Amino acid sequence: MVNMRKVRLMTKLAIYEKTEGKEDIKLGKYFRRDYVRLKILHNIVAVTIGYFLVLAMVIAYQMEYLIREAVNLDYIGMGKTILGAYIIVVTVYVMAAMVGYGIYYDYSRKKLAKYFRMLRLLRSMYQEEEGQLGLEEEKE
Amino acid sequence: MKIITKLLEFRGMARRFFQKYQLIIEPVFRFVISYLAFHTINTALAYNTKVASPVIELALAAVGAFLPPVVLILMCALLAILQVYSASPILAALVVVIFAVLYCFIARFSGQYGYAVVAVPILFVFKMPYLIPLLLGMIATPMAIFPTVSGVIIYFVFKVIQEAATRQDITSLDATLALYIDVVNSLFKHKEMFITAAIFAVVILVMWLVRRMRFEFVFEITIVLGAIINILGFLLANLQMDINVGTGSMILGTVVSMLLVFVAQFFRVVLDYTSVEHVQFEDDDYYYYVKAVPKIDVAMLQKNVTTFSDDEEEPEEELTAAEQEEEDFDFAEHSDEIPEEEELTEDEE
Repeated sequence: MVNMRKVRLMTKLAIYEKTEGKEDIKLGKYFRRDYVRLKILHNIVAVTIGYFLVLAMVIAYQMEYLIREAVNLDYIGMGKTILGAYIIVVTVYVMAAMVGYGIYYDYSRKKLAKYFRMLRLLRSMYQEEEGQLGLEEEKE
Repeated sequence: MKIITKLLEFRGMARRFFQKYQLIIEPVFRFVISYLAFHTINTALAYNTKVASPVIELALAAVGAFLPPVVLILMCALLAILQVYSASPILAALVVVIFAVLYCFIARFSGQYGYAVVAVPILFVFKMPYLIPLLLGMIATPMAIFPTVSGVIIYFVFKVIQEAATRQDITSLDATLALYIDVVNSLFKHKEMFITAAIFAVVILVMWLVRRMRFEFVFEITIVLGAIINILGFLLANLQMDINVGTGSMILGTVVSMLLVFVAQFFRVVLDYTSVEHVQFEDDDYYYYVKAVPKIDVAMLQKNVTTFSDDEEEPEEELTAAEQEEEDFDFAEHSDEIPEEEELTEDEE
């Protein structure tokens, strides 16, 4: 006979696994620190690429001036400015990623905790069923 | 009161209709959205007549109807780049670089609200971009600021590209630098871009903050507040910064957007609670093919504030712990609870 309580529970679990749970379960394989670090790394790569593109655009924009003044430019000063700006941008993104992805991870973990609790409930139902079956067999 | 009852009945009917034909309605809706997107791009940037044919638009939209939003955004970007490329490869290269920068710094965080990146520029064409911040302010988190701002920037980039494409020397390599400098200059001359982005961001943020509060009519007040901030922001910008946003069309656009958001809010329950899920699973004895239809809860529509005093005792229905847990279980609704101390290990199967 179909156990309605069990079906209801399994349906909820299946829906969760199919929708938002997909991401949560994937994320659940990481420790919090590893996950946040991975995301920070992604951020650094993306920001570095973006920064160099912007830098290239700025250089192209100022090309005429740069060529005209190529001899008397303060290259060290420019390098310092470019590096300084880069460090500031990366720091901002890393900090934001640390906070943002940390919050996201905790949020996802909470949902996953519920999921595991439901799984445990399901297991106890199975045990209950098996116990009842065992009793019936003993009677026979 | 009669009108409200009629409306509620109509909503119920709409909900049942959606539930019944969900599998058809969703792709059709996405097809229309995709077609609108491709058609607007082809109209605004009509440099390649071959690509601009209705057959290609329909074919692309048919593909877009069945793919996730990310792919639709990518297809829109590719189509736009292709159109610009037909006018001038140099401008197309510039658009690619700007898209890449935008992706690296902002658009990457769009997530599930990625549609906004495409929707904002399209609605700009219809003078209704205000709809997106007002709508996202009601349904999204502040993360929605990223796609909205991206959408605003993309619209102005193409506006500048359109202006630049009318120049004579857009295909000659010698004039590349001059063209590039000209495009960047005119992009930064559009102060509306920065102001619009800022106002939209503020609208989304404030609406999100107010929406989470607990008082009567909080949703209605939030929508009106968002519209007021939007109008005041643009009026102030018009006065102070001497920018060119048509006041009349702005106010009209905001009011119409506000009304649309009211309608959306009223029917939200239809969209939120109609998603019928089809799931399959098995246990030792059976295969299950379950169609799960969500139950509607009219109370979800309105936040009701109830105050309890100490001496009144609320009679509570007794439920066993297991039943209670089953009843309460809702991943999204209860995620803000503090979790119980639990070991979360993989072997808990």
